[in-house]
Amino acid sequence: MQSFNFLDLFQGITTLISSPPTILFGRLGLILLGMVLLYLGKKGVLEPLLMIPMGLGMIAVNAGVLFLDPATAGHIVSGTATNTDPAIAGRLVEQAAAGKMPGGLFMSPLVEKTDSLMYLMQVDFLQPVYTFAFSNGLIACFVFMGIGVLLDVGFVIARPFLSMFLALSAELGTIITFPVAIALGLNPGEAASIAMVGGADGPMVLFTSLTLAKHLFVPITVVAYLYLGLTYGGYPYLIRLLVPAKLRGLKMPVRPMVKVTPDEKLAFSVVGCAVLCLLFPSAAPLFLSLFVGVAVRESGLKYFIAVIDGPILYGATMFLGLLLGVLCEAATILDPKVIILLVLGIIALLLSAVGGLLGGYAAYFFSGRKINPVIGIAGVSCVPSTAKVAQKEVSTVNPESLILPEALGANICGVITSAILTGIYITIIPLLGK
Amino acid sequence: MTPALKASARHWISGTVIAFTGVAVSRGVASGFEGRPHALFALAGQLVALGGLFIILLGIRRRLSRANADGPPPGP
Repeated sequence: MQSFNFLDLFQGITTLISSPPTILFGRLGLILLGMVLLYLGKKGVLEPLLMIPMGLGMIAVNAGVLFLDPATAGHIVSGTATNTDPAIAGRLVEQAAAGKMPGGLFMSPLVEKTDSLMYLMQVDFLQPVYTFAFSNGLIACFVFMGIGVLLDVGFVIARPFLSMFLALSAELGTIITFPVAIALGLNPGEAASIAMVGGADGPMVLFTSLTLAKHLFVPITVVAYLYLGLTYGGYPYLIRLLVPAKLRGLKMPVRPMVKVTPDEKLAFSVVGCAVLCLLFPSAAPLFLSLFVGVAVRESGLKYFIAVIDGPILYGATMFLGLLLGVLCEAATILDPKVIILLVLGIIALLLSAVGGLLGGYAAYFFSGRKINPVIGIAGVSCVPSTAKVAQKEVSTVNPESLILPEALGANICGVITSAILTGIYITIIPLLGK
Repeated sequence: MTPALKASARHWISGTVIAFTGVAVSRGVASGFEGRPHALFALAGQLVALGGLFIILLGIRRRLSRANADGPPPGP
């Protein structure tokens, strides 16, 4: 009778055990992290719309690893353009030929060569979604369209100087982290991509890293989305630390009754979109996506609004979460630079929050102590989380103090300033290399 | 043009013209130079363009202030 290995029944376990120790512990750690993210998402500590599909994707991709057949493994190895180390490439080719290279049936994010990509699209079930919607930034643009439909630019237009000032202050992390990252050994493209975490805008980080640091976009984007989830849990403590309770409860001056008309919002969006696209053509897809959402909202196109803020926004968010989770495969994410990215990401977000609050203090003093300084943190453009966090912290001290309209103005302006900084980075960084 | 736009037409027109002039300086004039002058013209053009957008916002803010000084809008 032929000998039978019981573990062959459970190939995932066999593959896991035969991995090198770093990858083995990396996979186990990421499976656990996936479970934690899913749990925290369900509890509402982190953003559930993103964390539940992301956590599950992370668990599945690290658990469901197989020894690929030589043809599929060969396509992954030979189709990956970034594989520049000849020793590693040679070893991988040998493994692939022997059918011993572990891989998944989800997707192969680093494969770039067309023939291999076409082959893998027929094997990996998420490869078509990744290739046609994620790696070209389409999902980021869909999310941005949805944000545009949800935004009321009237809040910005009613108080443009305050909103813009706070938004600029809250870009402190995005600006300061860039030279810090360069000093820590990252190249300008990588430094700009991780610095964008300070803008606290996921689609923007995704877009920048795909443009400037494609080889590191997986860890950078994952770090960004993990930290964005943490803003909801961490920023309240920062507000309490930096703003005394007496100031947190400050009531804002009475607001005007007359509102900005939809015609004005639409006309401003048209001029703003044209000017920003002319100035920063590299970020034109982001500007178009944002302003098309705003234009649809202000034109009152109900059917379009229903499509964009329903299936497009939520569909894109779900696939974004799922793909981010699936991208967290140990072999892809265990890059030595990840520790540096983790540190830089937290520095960027922290500095942006501090910058926003300092801007809030400046507004407080310049307005004759009338403006609540807490609205400064809403300049960090994690729409609408930071505005909601600011209002929640103020309401805890003084339930009668309403700062949400001004906070949303700064928040929306933060999205625009982050998009402008994205445009500046992806325009200037390639010129630095020339 | 609606009455709301008419009230701040001056700001709208001047803001739009200034914004597009800034774009022309940043993308057109700057491309005729190299090195430091190129960067200076590009930056100056970008600032002028963003300044144009602010002039439009200023116009809307003034219309709001005027409308509020005249009293709240009539109810339905």
